[in-house]
Amino acid sequence: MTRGSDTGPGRRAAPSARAARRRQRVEHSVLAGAGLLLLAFMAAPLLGLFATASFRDFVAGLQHPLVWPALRLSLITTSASLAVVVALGTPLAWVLARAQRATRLVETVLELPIVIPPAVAGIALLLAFGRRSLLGALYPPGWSLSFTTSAVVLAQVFVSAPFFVQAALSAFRRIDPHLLLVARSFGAHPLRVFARVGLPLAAPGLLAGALLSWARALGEFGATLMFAGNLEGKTQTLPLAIYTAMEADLRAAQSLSIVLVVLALLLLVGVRALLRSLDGGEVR
Amino acid sequence: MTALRARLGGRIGALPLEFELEVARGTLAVVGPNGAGKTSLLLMLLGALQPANGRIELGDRVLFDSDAGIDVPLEDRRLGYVPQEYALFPHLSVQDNIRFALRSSGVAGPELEARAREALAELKLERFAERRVTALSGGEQQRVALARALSVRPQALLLDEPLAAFDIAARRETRAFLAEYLQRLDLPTLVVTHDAGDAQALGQQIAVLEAGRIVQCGTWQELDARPASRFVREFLRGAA
Repeated sequence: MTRGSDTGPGRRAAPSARAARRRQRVEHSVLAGAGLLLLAFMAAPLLGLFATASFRDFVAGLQHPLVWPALRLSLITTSASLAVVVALGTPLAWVLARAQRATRLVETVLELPIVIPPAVAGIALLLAFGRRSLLGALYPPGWSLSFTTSAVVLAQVFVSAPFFVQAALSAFRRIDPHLLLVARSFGAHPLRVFARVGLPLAAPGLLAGALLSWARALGEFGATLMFAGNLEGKTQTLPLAIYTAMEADLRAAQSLSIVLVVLALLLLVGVRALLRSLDGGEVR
Repeated sequence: MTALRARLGGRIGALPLEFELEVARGTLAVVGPNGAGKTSLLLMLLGALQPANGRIELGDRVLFDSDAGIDVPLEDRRLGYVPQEYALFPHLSVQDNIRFALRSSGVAGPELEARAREALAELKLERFAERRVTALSGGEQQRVALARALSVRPQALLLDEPLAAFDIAARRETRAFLAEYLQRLDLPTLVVTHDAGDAQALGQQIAVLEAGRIVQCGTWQELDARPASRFVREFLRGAA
């Protein structure tokens, strides 16, 4: 290319070009190889889960007495925790997205549950809301929040809310601030700006955040075990049932695991499709 | 005739702002180099940015007075605001953009529909009523933004770089339309622009803002006859 120039690399262009191409190919394969290794490792457990179960085993596993109560409890508690997270997390993210001060500090506090181990979260919840907590002194005698179905929901809210709030926060921050100024210039009051401009424009981000948060709540194990226990029909969600079943019957544990994976997969695909249709509606 | 009068002081970062202006009839074009404080001035009038001191009057209403502790919120100032790139609501159709404005201003029922139709007709947008605003051309978007801002009957109009989004060819035509329309509108209007041609075409008065201060204010001819600074002289030359 630079044959006409008298610079060093230009003069050696022809032979070095081939070497450079070879080198490029090698470097690409090294990068791709490293990526494939991780991909293979990630796929192996999922393959194991599905490949080692025959359909008959799967159906037999589903008849295990732990399965249906746990599935039912998981659906009820994650629905409740998702409702709490979305109902309270959306306004929080909206206020944070528009606040000028102290947002870094609040955001850090909100992100903490993502990085602290779930078992620690469980202990912390116990110390905050358990029978021997400060709040516990106010409980009626013989009653405690801990080791109830409500405790399951609280543990799920605690670990899953940060995922939703972060997604909502970044969705709200992406809204052009001029849109909000213009809305206000017409006389639109805060709730109207929030409901008619903020919510619809952030909807795809909110939905994606809700999915992440729901998935985290569905898989919640450690904090639930510490704070709510493992009581069949009351606090034994799918992950805890899998743990219990595994001690006696690996087949039941496997069936339960497959149910959990399929559930998560269906939701992931469903929300992706919904997001795509929302995006398609915007002519850009 | 309502007039927009402002005398404001404040500080944006390290830049001290200090200006006094009056828009009675017609359009005042505020020009100046980048970072001179044009947009800050606009946001202070709008109520989105609080000045440290001063007073803003719109007709006989006081919108801001630091001495008297008056600061009418943005929602109640009744100023029409058209930002750069227009800020149309991308999730709403043309007529729903206008309906949103009307409903926000407290209009409802049959009056809302009548006024929405009126606003569409005024800017010849009837055939775009059902369109999504993202499917419109720049000129059409500008007309929607004007129709939407004017539908709520503001007492003054603030336009931020209304022609910045256009290339040269489209700019001339849109500029001519806007100049003619603003003249007919007869509403105190303030246009912020960095373009000399826009300022000449749109502004009956031109205020030159430099480093937070108005260094000169007058008609194009007045500025041309006696430019107060090197920037003014060079800026005027840019219109040719």
